Amino acid sequence: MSKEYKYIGKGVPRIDADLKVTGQATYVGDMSFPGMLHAKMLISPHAHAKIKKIDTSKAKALDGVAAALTGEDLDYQVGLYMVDKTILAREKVRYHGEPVAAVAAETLEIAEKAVKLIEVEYEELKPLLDVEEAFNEKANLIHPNLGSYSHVQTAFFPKPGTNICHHSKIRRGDIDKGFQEADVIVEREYNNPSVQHVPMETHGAIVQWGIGDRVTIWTSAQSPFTVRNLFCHTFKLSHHQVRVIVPYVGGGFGGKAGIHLEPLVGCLSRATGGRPVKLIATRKEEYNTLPCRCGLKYKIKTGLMKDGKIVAQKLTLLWSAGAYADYAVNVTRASGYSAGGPYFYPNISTDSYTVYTNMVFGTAYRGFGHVELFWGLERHMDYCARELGIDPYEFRMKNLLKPGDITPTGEKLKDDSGDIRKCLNAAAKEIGWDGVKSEQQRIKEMQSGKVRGKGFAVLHKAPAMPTNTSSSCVIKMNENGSVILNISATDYGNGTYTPMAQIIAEEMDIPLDKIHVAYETDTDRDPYDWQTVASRFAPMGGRAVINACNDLKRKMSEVAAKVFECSPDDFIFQDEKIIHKSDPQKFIYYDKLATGYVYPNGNAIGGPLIGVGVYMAEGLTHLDKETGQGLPAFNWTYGAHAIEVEVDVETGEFTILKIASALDVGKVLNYESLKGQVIGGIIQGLGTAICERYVYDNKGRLLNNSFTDNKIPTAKDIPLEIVPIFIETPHDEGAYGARGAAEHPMISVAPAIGNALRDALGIELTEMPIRAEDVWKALKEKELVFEPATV
Amino acid sequence: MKPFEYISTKSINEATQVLSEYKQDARVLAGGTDVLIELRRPHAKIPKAILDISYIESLNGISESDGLIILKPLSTHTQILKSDLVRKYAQLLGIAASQIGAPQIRNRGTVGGNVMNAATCADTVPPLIALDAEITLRSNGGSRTMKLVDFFIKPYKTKAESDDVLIEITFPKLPSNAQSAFIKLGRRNALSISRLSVAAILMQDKKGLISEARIVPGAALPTWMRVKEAEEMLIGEKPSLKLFTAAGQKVSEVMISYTGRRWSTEYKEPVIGVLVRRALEGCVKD
Repeated sequence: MSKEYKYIGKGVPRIDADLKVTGQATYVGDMSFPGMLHAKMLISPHAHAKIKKIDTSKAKALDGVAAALTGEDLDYQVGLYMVDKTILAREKVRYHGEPVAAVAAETLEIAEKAVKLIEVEYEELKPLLDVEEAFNEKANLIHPNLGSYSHVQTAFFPKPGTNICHHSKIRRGDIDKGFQEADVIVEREYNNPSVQHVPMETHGAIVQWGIGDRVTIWTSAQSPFTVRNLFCHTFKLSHHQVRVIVPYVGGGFGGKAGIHLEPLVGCLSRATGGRPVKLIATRKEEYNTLPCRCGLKYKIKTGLMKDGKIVAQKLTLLWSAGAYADYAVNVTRASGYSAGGPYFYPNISTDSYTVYTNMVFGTAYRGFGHVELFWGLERHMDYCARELGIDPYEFRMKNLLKPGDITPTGEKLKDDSGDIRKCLNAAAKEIGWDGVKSEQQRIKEMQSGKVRGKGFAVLHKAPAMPTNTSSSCVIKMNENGSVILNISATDYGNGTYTPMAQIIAEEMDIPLDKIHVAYETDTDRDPYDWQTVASRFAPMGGRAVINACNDLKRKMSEVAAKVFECSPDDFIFQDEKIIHKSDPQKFIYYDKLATGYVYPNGNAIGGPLIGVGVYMAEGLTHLDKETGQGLPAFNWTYGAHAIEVEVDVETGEFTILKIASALDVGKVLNYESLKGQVIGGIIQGLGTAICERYVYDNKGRLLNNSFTDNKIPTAKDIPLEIVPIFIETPHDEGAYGARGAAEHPMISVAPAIGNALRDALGIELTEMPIRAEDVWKALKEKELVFEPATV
Repeated sequence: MKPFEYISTKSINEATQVLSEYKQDARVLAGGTDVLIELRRPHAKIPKAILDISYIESLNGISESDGLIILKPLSTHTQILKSDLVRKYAQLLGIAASQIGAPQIRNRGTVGGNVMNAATCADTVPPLIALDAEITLRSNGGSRTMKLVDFFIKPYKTKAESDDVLIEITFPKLPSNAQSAFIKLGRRNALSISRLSVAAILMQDKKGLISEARIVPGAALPTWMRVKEAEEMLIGEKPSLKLFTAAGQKVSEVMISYTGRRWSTEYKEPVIGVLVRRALEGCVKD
């Protein structure tokens, strides 16, 4: 029996809901300061070109322009893992949309006018738009200086003289022997285009580069400390000089991890002598200038025994980074060590490459490579099962990981690692899976013009993070016994501050309405947190909050022990009181301790109550460069989606009748928040599955940088029924046993649809997205023709 | 964006006066769902004046008179889809209006704007042409009335002069023996411009034979028109799947004869036929 909690697991409404729906929550776009200037970028019209000449004199001469900068003015190298980027393009542009100049002016209108007056002379170069072509050792080099770029050497391995900025390897068992043993070998290729995160709030920042190089940054970002760290690194500033404030954020989905517009806006402020400068990306810039999700082309080769056991798996992943490495190298690394999915392989070999191309660069995106990876992997597993004539459910059950199994990086799974089988079982059961549809049945159903199909797909993901990833927080008790939590992991729409408040309520037994989680995070005020990414906030940040509560309780116990002349271990905490265990008449209300306890005679002891909590993952290791062996993962979250679709066989349009989503979350902290994450994730996964993609012309110009041409699902496209299912196999390290589950609902939605369409129509789709005409075309190629029967 | 003059008026006479002064340098603003977006385009041609006619009360409303429905141009898509008159006498127009954009766009966007902007994907136009609508334009020089089907030259190009204001759309009420349908194919279920659409009206005589047929595809032909070749196949016939399928194929053939073959033809060629068949099926329900 699991422990009964008063607050944990309950569907507590979000504590930020009222401010957000009334418009009172303040975002960067809402903010302004005295003397503030407005910035505008000039972006490259070419995908690959030399900048022969650039002239800002007409822009500078325009009334109201305070500064105009070009790449020539900014000799700084920036980058997250691979320092390969400049703040504005220098010498050449590497993607259509890359900023080449920027202006700060009294009004946005003047800034917009000024950038149009900047004259740039380009010499067009041939763009590399195909990842396989760019991967070729003889291809033109997008970054000829790759060999001299500084980078994180423990994790990333560039190949100078090529366009390959990272190569991750996993080697386990004997892959050749595995394929020799196999009865059947299946090899197929899969493909994913780039897509946009589409946060409701675009990227934006206000920066004031003040006197004495004291810099203040207000930014729409996920990770204030990482912005500060990378900013200091770029400009060689000491961390105490830079203050990063993150107000309310309208979504990020990974696109606001790391650092983006802040250095440019900082330089514009510095150029104006320290006036605050504001830059808010337009939606077009969000598509075209700020990063997207990387593209992926990959091959999966599987060796199978007739009884359904997998004996060998070889994966080759070509990640199209776009023009700069940013997060792509780490997406490559994480998807590399996860590439097998939650299956056991006696022999596995994975090569995951990051390849520069002349397209919009890629970054972190909810799922961190796994949405793309699992599209092919889970389509592939269905294909393998059918090749063997085994039910795809049974085939998966034969090969899924269980405690005691060794993963491709050599990690031995434990009882607390989670239960993928329960997830698949629950999801498949929910849609009533009863085996594959026969061709005969299919032909029969075709006569009605509508055919239904069922499919499922499993998933897993661990946080991709440095080995020393940590969280910390401070809980301050106020005069009336209420508390304030300062934590710099951000709630950028993920909703995690609500369960943090629940944790304090649970640990301290304080009512929720006396707990405030400070939304606007501030590196000057709040203690360190690495980044709000990788579904790690709830399990790891939650542990820091528990530890801070324990620290607070320890301090309260020490004072109460003096008052009652007993041991600090003699107390319980209940109803906002610290109470003596064996003598409940002895108690003190929290508010009487908050700023120091005062005896009747006026003597005071203790002092203001502040609880400090830190949590760091321990035991993680770097991965071996040649074999990928090591321990990369804090925890794995397993899951499965199961879907029933109905296809209109004459138009290829399809409707998702039901999607069941089972995740082993370890422990539900807030049922409503988690359900929201699942529904949101499914819809986002659906978007990349059915309609979203970047389309370039043959010169590398992005053709669809708007909502008109790059569509995302609307309320009317939501599946008719969504059923979230939570499996709770507690994880030893996570808060209350919880695992991260923020990204996971998005992963494997696409292959579950693909597999359901396969079941319905017998068609094999290998490219995302799946549009009506793709289904129609695949059906036509299969030569199954619908003959309408009656009016 | 360049500055422009904003002129608002409450009278049609004043509106035509302003237009005769500015001619092609003025742009008429009704709901703004097209104009305001176009103004923000990177290389938008910014007019010298924006003439806001949205406050002219006499240009708003849906009424009936002498067997005609009178649709004033400022009627929004929301007004149309909620109108009892439309539901009773021009059902296909209500269906089309209900599928335009999203609620916000339907609340602002007007039927007059849809007609005057003349975008290929304008969803109210195929039903109005099927309904045999006429429009009345007024300028300083007077009024003129023409068939809506004759009004369009090509996408975004009409026979309206730069000083014309659209003041009325009229069409005969559909008789009780008529049924109508509108089907649209978009890339998603809302906020989606039509990739293809079909407006259809069928009338049957007492014997159940088709006495009148009107088929107007949308986003399929260079300009809107009734596909007479397909309509004629239906006259005097009894509704049947075979007949409707053949009519659909005929529309598809006509489409190809105008547009030629492009990358999307492989898909659109059979699908327009399917949509026509389904629209006709929708006209013989009960």
